[in-house]
Amino acid sequence: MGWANERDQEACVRGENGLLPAFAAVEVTTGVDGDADPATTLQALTPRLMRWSDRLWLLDLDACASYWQARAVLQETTAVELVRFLLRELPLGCVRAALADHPWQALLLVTHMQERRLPGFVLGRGPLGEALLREASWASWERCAERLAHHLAAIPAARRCDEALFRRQRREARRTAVRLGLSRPWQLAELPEAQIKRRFGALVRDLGQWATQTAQPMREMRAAGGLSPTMGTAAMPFASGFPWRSFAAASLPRVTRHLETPAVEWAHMEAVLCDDFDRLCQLDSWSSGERVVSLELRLVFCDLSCLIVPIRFRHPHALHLERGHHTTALLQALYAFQCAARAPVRRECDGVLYEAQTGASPIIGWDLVLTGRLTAVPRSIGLFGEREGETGDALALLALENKLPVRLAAYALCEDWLPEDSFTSAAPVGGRERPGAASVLTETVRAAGRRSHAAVAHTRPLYLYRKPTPFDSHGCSSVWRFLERTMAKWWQPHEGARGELQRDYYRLTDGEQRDFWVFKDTRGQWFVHGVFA
Amino acid sequence: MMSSYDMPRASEACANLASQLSAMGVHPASGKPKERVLPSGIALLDEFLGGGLPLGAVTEWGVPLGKSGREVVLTWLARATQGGAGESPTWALWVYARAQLIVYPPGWAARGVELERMRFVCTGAPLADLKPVFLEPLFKIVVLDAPRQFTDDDCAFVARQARANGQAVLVLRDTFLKSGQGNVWARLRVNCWRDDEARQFRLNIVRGLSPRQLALPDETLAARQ
Repeated sequence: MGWANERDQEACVRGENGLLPAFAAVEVTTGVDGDADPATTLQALTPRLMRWSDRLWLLDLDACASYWQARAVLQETTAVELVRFLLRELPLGCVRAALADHPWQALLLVTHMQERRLPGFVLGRGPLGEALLREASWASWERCAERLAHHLAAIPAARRCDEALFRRQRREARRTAVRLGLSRPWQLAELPEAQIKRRFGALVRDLGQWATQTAQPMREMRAAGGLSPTMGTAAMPFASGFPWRSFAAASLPRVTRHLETPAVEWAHMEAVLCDDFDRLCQLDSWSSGERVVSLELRLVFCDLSCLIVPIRFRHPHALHLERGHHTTALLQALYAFQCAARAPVRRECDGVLYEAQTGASPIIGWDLVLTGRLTAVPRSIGLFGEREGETGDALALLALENKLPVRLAAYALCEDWLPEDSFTSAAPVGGRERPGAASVLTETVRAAGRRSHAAVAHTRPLYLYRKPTPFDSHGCSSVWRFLERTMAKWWQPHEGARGELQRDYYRLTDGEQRDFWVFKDTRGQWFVHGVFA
Repeated sequence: MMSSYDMPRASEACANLASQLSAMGVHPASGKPKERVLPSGIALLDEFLGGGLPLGAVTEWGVPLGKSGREVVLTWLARATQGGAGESPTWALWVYARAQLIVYPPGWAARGVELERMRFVCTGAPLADLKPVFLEPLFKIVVLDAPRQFTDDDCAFVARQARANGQAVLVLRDTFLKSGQGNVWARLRVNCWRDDEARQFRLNIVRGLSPRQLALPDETLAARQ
């Protein structure tokens, strides 16, 4: 499979699109006639898959994004380039693939590529991807929407979707759009959301929003718990309403333990659990090259009630490499166990759910189930092998992060003048750009912008308050020094609502000789925004 | 008694011995193992601290919030994360406890810190949440910014691990330190703040080296960054 556009390829190699888009839609030819299983093969990229149709698969790449970023650093390439390479080399018979920030965008892209008989790989953020998305036809949109309705109807927990009504709403929306001169479904996003919802329903409005959505809102939804990280059969839609149905394998590797003496404390369980991790490694149903993303410890108590303790790794973990001690897995199991022990949890006993404390009843056994894993990349591809003591700081950092109960935050700079928008919490590989910014500015202008931002950042503090705090400047015994005037983003809805046009920043030294970063907004109100630490 | 005839040979032998000892990591004058340090790249500052920030030790800094003392600490982070002078870049970790604050990464980058090699975490209990960090030598510099739960025992553990892993652990305190109080496990105790009127940073050794003061002009720090 090749690149449909050389400019996209160059952009990736240069690292302009260094961050891996969150989703991929992949059309494959294997598995249809019962030969190789595409799900197992695709799980080499991510454990979170969704079968959209017979040949079309959706991949949630965010689940292992940091791992691929680290791998890319090791291979001296970008994560996008690495994924492209794997899609081409894996035995999938991959016809076409699209990477985008939202599953709907990836689906629209691949469906439109099918329609235009375009083979290959397209990056939604690249020039070709953006152009293809904009010119996706109503027919492609209709095909995707029809399938979407099918998936929505299959999820009991999702919002109610009357397929016939949704079909009517789509037909009506399309007719109206054409009457208004909107020749492409992309242009639905240009119409007022409230009116679209009122006339054609919330789902049609969502389709318009999803087509233009960037990765950030989706990542925020994940952070807020919108997407269940639990693997398995549960069909969990995204908070945005997308009907994500995780692919569940028919059988999962598992080991069962019946304790000779009931255990109450972690210390009693630890050695036995380490032994069970070893037993899990010895199972034939998965191989030593695979990496674990999530496990479930299904505890059984004396009263025969059950409690599921999910054990999740921040990054895919090589369980086989820690045979005999399993430091990482035991630490994560301990954190999960402590978390479960702290909170009153809903336990199931004879089909009845009730709230209980984990430590209240002795544990008599458990099932250890491998619920999510990255399957091994065939060695024939020659990309990399799994070996003891892998080198590379980036991978060492991932291994260390897997042992911690807290996340280590990494930041990258954004080319933006507003303090709160000038950085992003993401794995910084080659920097990060806001969509659209790169396409309208020349490299010279952007370089000048970067220099300007760096100069301004030098006068700004090291710490910001999470939210600017209003304060009364009257009666302050202090020294004020003007620093900068910054334009607010008054054209954005939430900024515009506040009536903020610009901010004047000062360095305020209070009576105790402490320096704060304060600003006065257009209405003359003062806020403390940071502190010179 | 050595004759004047033998003096050149003796001094040559001494010079050879000194260079051999130095290569072995032993201080020629004291006979003690030479302390590994991380230079900041600012001659004044390195000279003030006897060569640089000691590696394999805990240092304690009195840097009250709002007095810009942390900007001096950032010179070592910049040096470590950028590499330089034949050294490869290393990883650094900044741990802070105030939940109402977030770091402003462009400010750090503008002061020379390479964000790709920098990690941040907000926790009030650094040892409970980050024990594996101190068990492995990945992070060469760990800064604990005003930790809420950090007992003497915690400091003893961190000091031992820092020595084993060759890490520089900096514990920043929100108050100025005094010679009579502070953690006994800290090799060095320094107060640091910015004098706005004089436009210079002031450093004051409280313990670990002979008492001394340094006035570091803003321009010197800015030139390094």
